Amino acid sequence: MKKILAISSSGGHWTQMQRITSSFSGNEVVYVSTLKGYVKEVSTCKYYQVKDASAWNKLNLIVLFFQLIKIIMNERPDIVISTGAAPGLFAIIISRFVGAKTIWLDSIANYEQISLSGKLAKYFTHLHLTQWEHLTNQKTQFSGKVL
Amino acid sequence: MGTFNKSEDTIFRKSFVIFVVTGTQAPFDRMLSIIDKWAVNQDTYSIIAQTANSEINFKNMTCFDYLEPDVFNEYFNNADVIIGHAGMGTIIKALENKKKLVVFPRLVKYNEHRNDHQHHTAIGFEKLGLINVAYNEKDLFRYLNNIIEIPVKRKINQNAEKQLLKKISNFINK
Repeated sequence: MKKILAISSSGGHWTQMQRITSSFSGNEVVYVSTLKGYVKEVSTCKYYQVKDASAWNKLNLIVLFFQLIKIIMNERPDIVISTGAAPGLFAIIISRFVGAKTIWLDSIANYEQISLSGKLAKYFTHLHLTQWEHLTNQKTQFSGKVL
Repeated sequence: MGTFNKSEDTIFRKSFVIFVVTGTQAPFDRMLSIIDKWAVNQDTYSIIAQTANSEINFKNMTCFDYLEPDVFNEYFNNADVIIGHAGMGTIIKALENKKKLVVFPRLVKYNEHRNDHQHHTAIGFEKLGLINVAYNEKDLFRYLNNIIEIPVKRKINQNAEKQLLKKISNFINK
């Protein structure tokens, strides 16, 4: 059994994460997101709330980064998976230092191009997935949608 | 502004409900203002809006800055129609619950988002036949004036495509 850290921002990122949870079965899952109320939706698993941050609020990004260092050092996950955005990118970068294997599933919202965080995550992640076939390239694979 | 404009017991005084959704990250006054303007001349629908800390005092809808996920889901599931920004949470939830949905994409030129991905998402999903899109005020008024005729798109199940789930589980368990 492996320990999976599943991390996403709120709203659509979280909704998409919930649609892939069946692929985690047989493993221990720890969830991280930005809304307190989500704890009720994953009541059988451990849940951490972190600061909601984006390129819009730089100070929160710093707070978020340190929150994630603490969580990842504490949990030592084998696998880190994210559906975006900034919290997932940070978690993937940090978790490389604890030897985790990482998955980035770019949000289905990114139809015209991979998201900014997704483009950056490409350099740090082992499996980099888009949900639109026309956005694939050497590193970024398509293997279906969350729908 | 306060959490809501009208007292809570008046929310469901009409038999049909429109739930307006803006997401949690930033206000979306352009969409809310159009709906509020439309609502002046109608008496069929109660309008409940989640406004993400909008500073405008909308007169014709019951507004909440933020709703906890379980409360949000209750409003969402009980509404007759959802009008929302083109956020994936809104779109996927509507598809899962077979809700009437009209999306109104946020645009960067009005400082409503960091980029125009909502506009592109809307086009992509419209091509797949999964959503109704209002690209401007005129479109939105047209949908609002004829809510009965708004098509319900196909219901999706609760899981991602098998191929995607297999890819992820193979990677995890290898």
